[in-house]
Parts: sequence; structure tokens; C-alpha cells
Amino acid sequence: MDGGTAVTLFLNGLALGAILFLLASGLTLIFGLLDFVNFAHGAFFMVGAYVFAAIAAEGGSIALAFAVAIAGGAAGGFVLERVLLRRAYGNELHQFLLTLGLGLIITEIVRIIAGPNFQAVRELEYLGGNVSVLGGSVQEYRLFLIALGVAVFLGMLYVLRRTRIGLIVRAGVEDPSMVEALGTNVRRGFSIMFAVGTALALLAGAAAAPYYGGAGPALGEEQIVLAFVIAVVGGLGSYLGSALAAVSVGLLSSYAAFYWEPGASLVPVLLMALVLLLRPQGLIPQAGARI
Amino acid sequence: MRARGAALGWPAVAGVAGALVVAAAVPFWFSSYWVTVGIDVCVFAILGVSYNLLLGRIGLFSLGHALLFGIAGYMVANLTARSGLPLLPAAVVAVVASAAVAAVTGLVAAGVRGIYFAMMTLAFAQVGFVLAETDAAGFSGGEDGLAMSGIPELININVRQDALYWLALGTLVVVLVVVAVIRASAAGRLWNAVRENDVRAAALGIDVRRQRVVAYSVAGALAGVAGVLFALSVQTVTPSTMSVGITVQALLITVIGGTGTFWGPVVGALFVRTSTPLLDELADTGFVQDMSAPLERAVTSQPLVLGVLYILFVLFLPAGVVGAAAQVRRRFSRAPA
Repeated sequence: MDGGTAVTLFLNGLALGAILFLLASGLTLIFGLLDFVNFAHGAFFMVGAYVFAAIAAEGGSIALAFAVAIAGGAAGGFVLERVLLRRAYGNELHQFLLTLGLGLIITEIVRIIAGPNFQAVRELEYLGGNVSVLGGSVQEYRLFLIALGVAVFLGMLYVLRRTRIGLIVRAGVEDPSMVEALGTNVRRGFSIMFAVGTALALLAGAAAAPYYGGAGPALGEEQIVLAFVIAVVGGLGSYLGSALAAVSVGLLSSYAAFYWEPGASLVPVLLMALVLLLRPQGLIPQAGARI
Repeated sequence: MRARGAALGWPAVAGVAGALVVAAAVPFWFSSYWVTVGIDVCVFAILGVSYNLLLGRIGLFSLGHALLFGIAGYMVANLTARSGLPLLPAAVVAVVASAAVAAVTGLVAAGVRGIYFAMMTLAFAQVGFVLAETDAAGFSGGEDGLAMSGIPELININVRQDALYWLALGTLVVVLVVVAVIRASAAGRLWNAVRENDVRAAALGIDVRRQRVVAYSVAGALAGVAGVLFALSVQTVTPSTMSVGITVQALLITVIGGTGTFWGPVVGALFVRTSTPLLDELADTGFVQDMSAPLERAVTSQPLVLGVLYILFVLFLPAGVVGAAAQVRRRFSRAPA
């Protein structure tokens, strides 16, 4: 492999890593802060991809698609948490079962409305061209994905570490009854975090649609396994860990696919098996993680 | 209730015998199409029994059951089609292979708990799925799958369906007897202890990890039995036999039937696996055909109907059909005293 190819693969790997991070970060937030296993996350991602495809087909801009995905995801996540998902707090199996059923329903509704076929998105008007970087060549949109991933990572880190809602959520995870006793509405904080996690899932799907070339109903099932792989490799619930894991899986998949096509699919699961064997708490474990 | 055997007293014995006679008579009453549905129900009941052994008996939440199901299918297809082995020895080797894969992966995964065990088994199953789909290890024939060969005329589903149905039903009965024996044995009680509280079980001197590996291996063998029967009925083993979808079916069957109950997986399989043909029948009725197209798709879609039912079960009937029936029976039998 020459230098130019290596750079191309590196940037493509980072772009994939950015998508995986956006996908896994919502899952990680919900698991890490709420101890909630959300198997419907892949279905949310798939809906996001359809949002992009629908808006792009009408000639809408990338920014509009992202905004609709975020707003819709936040509203949907908030309502679902209130109506359905909060009934399963504290019972991992019930959480899994409920969200599994929810994922089936969402996927099927999308299949009924949009049809079973993959919907290709057109060539992007902006960011569709290629640029050369250090002898390698990469699509502008992929550089944009990398920037988006970094921006979301820093933004969420700021919210969690430096804002009042982040403080309430972190404290609520440690000891919800104590925070309630101090006069703060923890349950509302949990609803908000669910809304944020779901908005991230739809954003990830919308951002990924041009990368994968469109949207299909099977996207959710494909992505949910990958999302959990990232979350487990990073350390379930660890926000920093999921970022590191997403970038690692993105880069390794990119280089592996260059040498051996099936490698791209095998890398994530092999990495997860390896991490669970050698370091079951994940690369950067969340404090107090129970294995 | 749990510590005692599966069937108790004459009414229960008579009920089981009656149900068995009715089940065995299915080929005389129904068309060949419904007999193939019956085969499918038996196959997935066995898979459900196997899954229930883990989730309901020893309390292991696995997301990799499809691996144990698929390995046996690919094994029996390879041995009959590529190695020219007769069906029976090939089937035996396939079941042993599933148990062996379960033993090895179980040995690795039994060190972690809860959701981590689920993720670990999922990782192993996905490795199997990717290898099968890409044919990277040369055992699967890629996405087209691998056709079986050497199936005797008698149980060739394209020639006649009744014999294969009786074979599947008989196998299900044998599997249920095996599980009843395990339940009543010392091992069954150890597993109950591990499920209820693994820390206390360990403190009492039970080697929790070893019991988990043993249970996982037994479940692997039973899943392998289901996998071989499935390969016999579809005659071509494809990567989808190792997909998460199969594990989800096993989980649905177990939960809807009643986790930890003896008859739950049988009831669950009957419910889940007949839903697609029943919804197809529903789609042909005039009532449904008068509906608008999206609504028609919605009420006859298996994932949608099952998904909704499934959520209702988790919310309102978490003990499943059989578990809820047992609760009702106990309430009524207690009342007169």
C-alpha cells in the first residue's frame, strides 16, 4: 500500500468512525446514565436515514435534513420514554424485550410506508466532490462527517461535564432517590436524556445516508449489532470509551477491507470478542461498571 | 410447582396424552401445507425448549443461540452433500458439533454476567454469521447456502410431509422428556439456585461457572437437534439460520410461552410460528381485502402484529401464556380453602 492509499483509507476509516460514534454515543448515553439496554436504537438510526432520503428527494438541504432528524428524534424519544420505556427501568431483560418489540414495529411501519426496497439518495450538490489530501483522495462529505463527529463529541462532553442538566443526570445515576430528596426532578432529567440519545440516533442515520448511498429497512438490524459492539468495546456506558472504540473500529475496518473484503464485517465482532476476553470492562470503563 | 415433575396426577397425564394424540393426527386432518407448518412448529418448539433451558432454568440471557442452531445445519449439509456421509451419522455428528461449539464458547463467555454474557454470545454468533455469509471459511456456500443431499424418500418434504412431521413431533417429545429428567435431577435444582442468586449459590459451594457451561452445552445440543431438523425441512442451509433473527424467534417463543415453564416453549412456538400462515389466511378474507392497502399490510404483517403483542405481553403478562395460566389455576385452587 502506497502513502496516498494509506491516507485515503485513514480518512475513510475516520469518517466511518464518526458515523459509528454518532450511532453508539446515543446508545452509550442511555445505557451509561439510565442503565437502559435500548435495542430499538438501530431502528431509530434507520428512521434517520429515511428522513434524509425523503428530504433530499424533495431537494432539501443537508442542514434541513439534520435539523428535522434531531427534532423528530428528540420528540419521539421523549414521548416513548414517558409512555413506554420507563416502565422497564431496573429490569434489563424487560428493557431488551420492550425495545426489541419496538424496533420490530418501527421497522415494519417504515417498510409499509416506504416499501421494502433500498432508496438511493442522489449525488450531493454540496460536499459531493473529492479533495486530495497528502496524496490521497477523499470525498468532501466524509471530511464533513469527521468534523461533525468531533463537534458532537465535544458538545456532548461539555453538556455532561459543565451544565446543570449534565450535573443532574450524573448525580441521578449515582443516587436517584437522594437527588429527588434534594428537590430535583430526576425523572424529567431521564426523559430528556432519552430524547438526546434518540436524537443522536436519528442524526447518525441522517448523516450516514449519503455515506451508505441511501436508506433501507434492514439498516436498523445491521447497525444495532455494530452499535452494541462499539458500546461494549469502549466500556458499556463510557462516553469517552465509545468515541475511542468507534474510531478504532472505523480505522481497522477500513484497512481490513482493503486487504480482505469480509474483514470489514469481521473486525468489529472479533474486536468485541477479544475485548470481552481480555478486558471485559471495556477500553475506558465507566466508573462503577458491574461486569 | 417448579421442583415437582412436569405432569402430575391423572388429569394432567390424560391431558398430555390427548394433546399428543391430536398432534399426531394433524396429517390426517390438515392439508400438506399445514403439515409443513406443523414441522416448523416442532422445530422451533425444540429451539425454544433449548433457549428456555438457558433463560428459564439457569438464568443465562444469550443473544447467540442462532450460532448453535446454524452450526448443526451447516454441519449436516456439509457431511451429507460434500462428504457423502449417510444422514443419521451426519445428524449425530452435527448435534455433537453444536454441543462442542457451545461448550467452548460457553467456557469463554461464562466468565461474564448479565448483558455482557448476551453481548459475548452475540459476538460469537455474528462471527459465525459473517463467516457463513462470506463463505470465508469455505463451509457455507456463501449467500446461496448449501443444499442437503442423501435425504431418504420417506422424509423428503417434497415427496411426502407426514413422516417428517412425525419425526419432528417424536423428537420434540424426546427433547421434552430429557428436559423433564434434567428438571427433576440434582443438576436441575443446582441450576435453579444459580438462577435465583448466583452469589449465594457460589457461597454454598456450587461451581457456578461449571454449571453454566454444562447448561450451555446441553442447550447447544438441543439447538443442534432443532438445526438438523430445520435443515431437513428446508433442504438448503443459508446464512439466515445463523442470523440474529433466529435468536429473536427463540426469545419471542420463550417469553410469549412463559419463561421457565415446562410447556411454555411449545405453546410459544405454536403461537409464533403459526402466526405467519394465519395472517396470510387473514389477508385473503374479504373483510381485510376491503381495507386500504397500507392498513391491509399492517394488520397482516407478522413483525408488526408480533411486535405489538410482544410489548403487551412484557407489560401486562410477563409470565407468558403458560405462566399466567398457572397463576390463575393456583389462585382458584387456593380460594376454597
